[in-house]
This record gives sequence, C-alpha cells and structure tokens, in this order.
Amino acid sequence: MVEAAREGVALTGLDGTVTEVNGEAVRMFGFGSEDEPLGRNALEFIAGRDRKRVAVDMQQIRKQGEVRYIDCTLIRPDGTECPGEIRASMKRDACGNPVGLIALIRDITERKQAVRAAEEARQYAESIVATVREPLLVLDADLRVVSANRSFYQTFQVTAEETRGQLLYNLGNRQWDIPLLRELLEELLPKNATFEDFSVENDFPAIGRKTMLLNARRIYKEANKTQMILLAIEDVTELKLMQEKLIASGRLAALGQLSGSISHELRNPLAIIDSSVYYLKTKLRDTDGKVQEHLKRIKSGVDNATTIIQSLLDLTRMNEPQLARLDLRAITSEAIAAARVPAGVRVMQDFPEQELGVNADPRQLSMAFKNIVGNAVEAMEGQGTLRVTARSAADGRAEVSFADTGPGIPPEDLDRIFEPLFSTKARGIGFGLSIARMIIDRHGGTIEARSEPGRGATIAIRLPLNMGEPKEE
Amino acid sequence: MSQKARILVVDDNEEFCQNVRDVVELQGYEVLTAYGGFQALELVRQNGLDLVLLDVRMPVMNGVATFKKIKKIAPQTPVIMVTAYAVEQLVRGALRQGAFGFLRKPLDFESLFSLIENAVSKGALVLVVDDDRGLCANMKDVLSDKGYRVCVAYDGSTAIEKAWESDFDVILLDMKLPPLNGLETYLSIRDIRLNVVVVIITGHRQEMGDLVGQAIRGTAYTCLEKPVDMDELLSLLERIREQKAKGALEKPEWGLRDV
Repeated sequence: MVEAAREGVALTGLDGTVTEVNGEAVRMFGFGSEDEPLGRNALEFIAGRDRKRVAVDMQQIRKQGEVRYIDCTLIRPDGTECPGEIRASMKRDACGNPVGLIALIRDITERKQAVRAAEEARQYAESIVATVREPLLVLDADLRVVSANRSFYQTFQVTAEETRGQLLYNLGNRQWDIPLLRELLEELLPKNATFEDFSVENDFPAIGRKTMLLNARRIYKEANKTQMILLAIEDVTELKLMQEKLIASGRLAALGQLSGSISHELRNPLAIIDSSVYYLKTKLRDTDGKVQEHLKRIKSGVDNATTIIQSLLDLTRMNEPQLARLDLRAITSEAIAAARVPAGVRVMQDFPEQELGVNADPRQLSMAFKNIVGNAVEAMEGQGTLRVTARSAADGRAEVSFADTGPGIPPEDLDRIFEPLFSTKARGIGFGLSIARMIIDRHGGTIEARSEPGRGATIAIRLPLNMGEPKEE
Repeated sequence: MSQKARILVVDDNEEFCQNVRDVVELQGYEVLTAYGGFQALELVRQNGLDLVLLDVRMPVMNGVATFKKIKKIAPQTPVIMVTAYAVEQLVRGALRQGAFGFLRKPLDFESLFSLIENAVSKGALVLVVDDDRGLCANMKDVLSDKGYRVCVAYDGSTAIEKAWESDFDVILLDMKLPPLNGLETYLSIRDIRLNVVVVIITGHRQEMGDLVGQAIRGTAYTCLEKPVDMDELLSLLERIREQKAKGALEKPEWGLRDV
C-alpha cells in the first residue's frame, strides 16, 4: 500500500523516529536507500525554522488523533530545501492504540511556482491596467462595474465608491445609457463579439462636453467560469477638434491659393479703372455735382475691391509669427489707435497696472486686434461702446476681450463667425475674424465669441503669459 | 515742383501705361511711355530722364532686369518700381541695388506725386520717425526751412513702408516706437537700404541703451538725445551731406564710446 502511493510516505514511532519510508520519499529526499532515514527523527527532514511549528502540530495530532495538513519546508540530507505539504494522522494497532504517525509528504515546488506565476501575471495585468492612460472599466455579465482603473477615476472625476458595483447605465447622469451601446454590450457576451471605436459624444458631469471612443472585449475567467467585459474609453475630444481645425485650415489654404492668384490678376484692371477715375476727377473738377458723385462712387468701389483683395492676400501670405516678448497692454492700445475707430464709437480700456508679457509677433497680433475692433465697429454700425479689457486670466494666460454693444451674434452662428467667408453683413466678405483666428492660433492662443442676442458680442483672446525677464536679443 | 521733369512710364499693360501718363501729365510733368523693357532702355539712352516708373512684371525682360540695365546706362536716374503682385523678393533686390522706391498697384496717385517730388528734387531727403507728432512737425518745419525734403512717420511699420517707397538720405529714428521697437525698424530698413544714414534719437538713453548700442555698433551713424538741439541736428545733417558728397562717411567717435 505504501509503495503504490504517488506521495512520499513515512511511518514513525510515537517518539517521531522514522520506521519506514516508501520509494517516492527516497526520491524526494535523495536518500541512498530506503534504510538511510530509518532510526532518525522525522523532524530532521524539516527545515530548522519550521521545526518547532511542525513539532507542535505533531503533538496536536497525537493528542487529538485527527488528520492535519502541515505546510513546511522540507530539507534533504544534502542541505537543499523544497516547499512541502504533509498530511499526518495517527497509526494505531489492532486494538486501536496509537503506535506512531503516518505522514504523507508532497513536494509542492511546482504548485508554488504555478501560484506565484499566476500572482505575477495578475500583478502584471493590474499594473498595465493602472498604467494605461485610457480609462478602463471591467464589467460583469450584468454590466455592473467590477473595477475601474485610475485613469477612469481621473478622467471622469469620480470616486471608486460611486463607481464600483454600479450598473454602467447608472453611472454619472446616465451618460452611458445609449440604446445602441446597450445593444452592443448586451450582444457582446452571448456572441463572444467585440466592438471598436464606438463614438459617444456627451455632456459629462464635471468634465463637460467630450467625444469618447469605446472599445470592448469579452474576458473569460476559467477559474470561476465567469464572463466579463473589458471596456476601454478613449477621449478623442482634442483629436476631433484638431481634425476639424485641420480641415478648416486646409479649406482656408486652398481658398487662399486660388483667391490669391485671382486677386493679383484683378489688381491690374482695378489699377486701370482707378487711374482713369483719378484723371477724370481732376479733369472734370468744375462739372456739376452729379458727375463728381458718380466719380466718387467708382473710386470708392475700386477702393473696396482693393481692400478685399488685400485681406485675401493677408490670408494667403501670412508668414510664421516672429515672436518677441511684448506687453499685451501696449499692443492692444496701439492696435485700437491704428484701427481708426469712428467718433460715434466710444472705446473704454480697462487694463491692469502691471504688464502682461506675452510672446507675440507685434505686426500680426496688431493686425488681429485691428480686425476684431473693425468687426465690432461694423457690427455697431459706427455707434456704440467698445469695452476692451485686458487681464491675467485664472488659467494663467493673458486675456484680452473686446465687448461691443452691437446686435450680438445668434447662438447658431457663434461657432461660425471665425470661418472664412462667413459674414452676416451685407457688406464685406468676412475675412477679418478668420485672419484674427489664424494669427491667434499660430500664437498658441485661443479665440472665442460670446454673445447674448440683443446684448452685444464679446470676442475674447487668450495667449500664454510670459512673465519672465525681457529676453536679451 | 521742379520745372517740367521728364518721366518715363514703363508698363506692358498699355491702357494702364497711358492712364498713368495722362494723370501725371495733369501735374505738369513731361511723360514718355514704353510698353516693354527694350523700348524703355532705348528711351533711357536717348533722353535725359529725371525719373523712370517701372512695372516689375513684364514679359520678355522683367522690371528688375530692365532696372539693372538702366542703372548701367544712367546710374543717376531714379527708378520707382511698380507692381500688382507679391514679388517682394524681386523688389527687395532692386531696392538693395539702388532703386529709388516701390509702389503697389492700383497706384495711390497722391503718394506717387510726392514720391516723384522726392525723387526729382535736389534737396537731401530726410525721414523723421517719432511717435511724438509735435516733435515730428517741429523737425519738419525746421529742416524744410533749410531746404531739406522731409517726410514723417509716427510708427515703425509706416517708417518701413516709407523706406520701401523712397530712398532717403537720412533717417532720424526714435528708438522707442510702437508697435515695433526702434531697433527692429532700423534693421528692417537697413535690410533694403544699404546706404541710408540713420541717426538714432532717444529720450530713454539709459533704458534703451542696449538697443541704441546694438544699432550704433551696427551701421547706425550716431545717436542724439532728446530734447534734440536743432542747431546740433542741422550741423550734423550738414556734416553728413558734406561727407556723402566726398563719398566717405565717418561715424562720430563719441557715439560709440558713450553707449
């Protein structure tokens, strides 16, 4: 019976002296023969540090007679060790009197290694999940959140408490409760499907309007035969904005190239009309008012056309900004002065005492501001108040805002007023604000329009502050 | 106005060319026309011209090539380049080689007339650049009385524009200018006008010391401090005129030592 076992078997007397071992035990300990351990105390084959504990366990077995599992380190005669598991019980004679112990011994090195490998794999996986910048959610088959990574909590500004155990659809203000997403997720487990790049655009509490791409995959846990879903969420809001801008600027560039070459060709015929008008005006100085009036009209028509051509060329021929450290207050007031605001418009400047240092190209920034002022003046039809405020904003950037008292911008047009050729005015073809935006973009700044219809419009520009010492050139 | 200055207008656009002739004639000038570079060179060889108005973009021989040949035939004849196109590099090249000025199409005739006067008048041509309009007006009065032709600019960009338009003999340049500072303005002008004499004027000598220093160490002539002593200015301009006539400019030593 002893020989057939796949475990090592050792019999001892009541005092712990080894009386018999099987072949497996000989192999396990590297004994020369089955006789080698006989007569020695079994505790000699337990590593010194575990010996006391094992001795106590053995005592317990002798007293209570029960079977016990003992985890300990085995030591071979050559001094090498291995993790072992001993199952020991009382050995009794025919009358039921205890005569010794039977110990079944296993070398559990492999099992330990497997456990450690599994643990390492788990830690590895967890560290990946924790490190990945994408927010990740693990959902159970009912679509409840099992766990989430740090990025998820950071991105959505939520805590583990309000997330774990919740149904996905109940998170936040039910922003994930989207019929198509529901369908996809619910089909995922039964069909062992995946889905990729499912786009969700939503207003998220705490973080505002964002575009997220969702990727999901089924995870099957062999151990407890459960299915789960790994849901990866990618914030592509910035990317999308960049793409939109790229498309817009591509359109601008194409438009610019075409119109740039047309503008040049238009200048020649305009030059002819212009010079003819000049000649006639001088020659016909003494004629009646009507003739003069018509000549004036031709001249102002030519001038308007020339101005439009110049704006088109400004758009196409804008160079990279040559940055220098400037005081935003000075640039702003100079641009206002250069914009030649008509007398009907009152300009109020509200600037801080201290300088607002920014890195900018003075000519380009001045052009941007002039265009914004010119646009405001046109919107007010030459009558009203333009309030220009410069300050250092809460986000550590410098802000200049131009608030007019014109009719304002309807909400649906707010996003479009910076597009080239977008104009609500009967006159002008709407390049001023496009040029302004292009310049501000190239300075790493932002420009936005705010308006309540009937209460005027505000164009606000933000530029990175440079509060350092002026650079030595 | 000078007595019957003779002006040659060169443009392959015949209608425009004739229009310019008609308008300029109304101002009392004598005007000739040419519709191409070769014809223009022919006229330059034949006649004592006071000024050439030259279109940049022309077929066969463009304006810049024509300009270079004119410079060889009649080096003293001022040439004003005219263009409807963005050919700044071409124009820049012509200015560096001594073209008198540059104008865009459609022509602003008032500018053209004052450019013509600048080009054909005998007095030295001075540009005063200062954002203090009062000071500009005073300098203009004082210098005009002494026979100088004076233009003014209140900011750096205008000054640069004026420098593209006319070949000034002397530029009086304030160092503190909106929105470009004096040094940037100075460098932009120097880029196209290799021979102009620039006198730096500053009321902020300490504050602007470094900019002034850089300009003077470069090719600026000297530096005057505000308030500008008009007598000193006049004698300085006289000295510059004499030195230029002799063909040897000498920078006053103190300008270097002082900053």
